[in-house]
Amino acid sequence: MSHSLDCGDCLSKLAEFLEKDFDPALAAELSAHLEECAGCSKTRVEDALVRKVRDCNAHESAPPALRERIIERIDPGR
Amino acid sequence: MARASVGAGSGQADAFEADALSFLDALYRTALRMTRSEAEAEDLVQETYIRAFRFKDQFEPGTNLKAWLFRILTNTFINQFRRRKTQPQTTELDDVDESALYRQMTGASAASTIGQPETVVLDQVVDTEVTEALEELPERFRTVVLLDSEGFSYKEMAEMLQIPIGTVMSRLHRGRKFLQKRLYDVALDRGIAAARSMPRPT
Repeated sequence: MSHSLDCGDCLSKLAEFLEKDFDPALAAELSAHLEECAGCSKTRVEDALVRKVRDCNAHESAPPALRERIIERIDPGR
Repeated sequence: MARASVGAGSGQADAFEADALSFLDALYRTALRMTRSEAEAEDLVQETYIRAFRFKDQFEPGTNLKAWLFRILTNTFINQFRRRKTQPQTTELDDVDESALYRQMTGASAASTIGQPETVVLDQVVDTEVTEALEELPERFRTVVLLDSEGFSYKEMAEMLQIPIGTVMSRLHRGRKFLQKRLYDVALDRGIAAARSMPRPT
């Protein structure tokens, strides 16, 4: 528990963690840091795989009828 | 707790409604991948909005509305939709130890993907193949992979799913490895990855 992660290393360590085989020690070190450090708590890895998942979903949009139904339910007076 | 309650029809209420509805597509596409059914995705999203508006006084203005709505979405999914009969796979997997599951998912050939130029493989697979791989992913892994793709931090996901950050990270790690392997296999089946990986420079 003595070693605390340097904020400057946070992103590269995260990328290393996700890329390599599962490393429980690194996972524990990173999660402790992300939990405590407000600055690094927003840090995340945005790589080709993340973009691929986003892209495969990007074309999906809510059916217009669903939008209308929701508006009707939440704002019946409209 | 006792924040200024907004009178019906006031400008502030309309602003909340407009802000909340701006995330409709994001909620829907996530719901679609979580439920794997258009009808259930619509029900899930509608229920999410009904709850969001019922509890809108609990939303603290200035905080992340998207994260707040996704928290309602994931809670609603876990509490109601997961139990539906259309999700037989998931109930089965609930009792499985995560690390055993991971070994089972990745298998011995997982190592073969290591060292592959990932972007080369990813460039070749098409959206529908990614979607299929994603939908094969057991629910708990799929959820974090989806939330990650929506841009949430690991801490936000931990709060949303009410699990420790370490659990988010291990699920994300495993979910990603599963996806990578599946996508690699897809590419391999089509002879793409094999062809591209032959002239490996050293």
